[in-house]
Amino acid sequence: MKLSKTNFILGIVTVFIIFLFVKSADIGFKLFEEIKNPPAKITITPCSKKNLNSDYSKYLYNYFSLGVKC
Amino acid sequence: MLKIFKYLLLFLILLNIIYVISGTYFYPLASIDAIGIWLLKAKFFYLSGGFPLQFLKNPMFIYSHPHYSLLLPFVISVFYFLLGGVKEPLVVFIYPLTFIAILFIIYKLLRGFEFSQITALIFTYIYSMLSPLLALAGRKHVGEADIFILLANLLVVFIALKMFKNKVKNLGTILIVLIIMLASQIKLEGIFILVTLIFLPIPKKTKLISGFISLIPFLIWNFAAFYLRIPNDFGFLIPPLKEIFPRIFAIAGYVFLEMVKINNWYIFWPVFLLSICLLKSKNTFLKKFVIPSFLIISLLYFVVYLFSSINPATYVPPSIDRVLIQISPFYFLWFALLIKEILPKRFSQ
Repeated sequence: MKLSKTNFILGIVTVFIIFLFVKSADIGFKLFEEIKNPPAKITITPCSKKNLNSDYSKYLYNYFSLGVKC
Repeated sequence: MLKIFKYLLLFLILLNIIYVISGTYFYPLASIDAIGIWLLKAKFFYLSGGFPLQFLKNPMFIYSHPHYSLLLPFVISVFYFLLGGVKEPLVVFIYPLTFIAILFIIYKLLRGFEFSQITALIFTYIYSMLSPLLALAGRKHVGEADIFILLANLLVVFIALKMFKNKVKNLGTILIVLIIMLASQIKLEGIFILVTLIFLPIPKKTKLISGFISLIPFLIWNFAAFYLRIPNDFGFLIPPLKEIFPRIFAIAGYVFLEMVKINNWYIFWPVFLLSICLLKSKNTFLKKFVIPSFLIISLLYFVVYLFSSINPATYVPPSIDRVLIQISPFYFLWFALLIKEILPKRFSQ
């Protein structure tokens, strides 16, 4: 049986959609876990310069210390 | 059977919406750019109660790209004033709401091309699954500006389609000009949408006047930033000739590496590129508006990468996923229209 180019594309689009369904299941499980065990909220001490060893913590420090009298 | 499939798609789209809402609720400050640039500047406005020039000139905040236009932080600060405090966990809910608006417009856009309800839902679902979009809508990139450039591009495509159908030409032009003006004040690349004016079905004189008006806020902001001596942490340069080709190859290489990143795009790019090579569409709007706009806007992004003072190795990898999602309304529509041509009749009608 000859495989036409339209059938070929439709085939890979179908594979793509099935792949997305699997990914959706993954999202569903992740969401369920997240709601069941909520992650800890970020706690910041604006005036403490401790643990500023990553860019993220530096920016968090800048962000949260802004406007705070230390 | 199709009815069950329709409800399944609706459920999966809803799942993505809940996913981004949950991300926004649990991780409102996950993005380094949100706390380093966008929300920080909103706080500048709120704390200074006016134009935050002193903050913008403070070297401690140079990471915030002080010379970027300030519309988004300003809008966020208006919410802070209304809410009576810097309440990020509430304000970031703008992002999932924008995601919902984007999915609704995508669905309506596809219906505007006479996609059946089920086919429009399939493509809306595919679009809603793209990881960079989910990230901007409520996960690791929540609080950044790129989703609004995406929205601006999408609205322009939506309005342009109406104009090609001989509807609302004058109103459409005015709306597109407004969108370009606003987008240029969100991020530099917002001004690239100006290109779309070239391909609109309006007289040349109107295009010129609209183009000039669209440019005004962009020019005013750049002049103001220069006049007020707001520091600029990066700019443009003309690299020596021997550096140009390695830069071009580096940019192309990083774009390629992003396109094959399965976690972000699954197999979207290989499927899309194969579709372009093997399929043809007779759609006039696609040929006269979507494809040329997409190609020129992509070229402009490429030029920015090429002539940026930041090396492509530092600049391209962390930003290319967001650039690709910003221009997604163009190529995603191209993809959807190509696939529509070959769908079995029970799906396409």
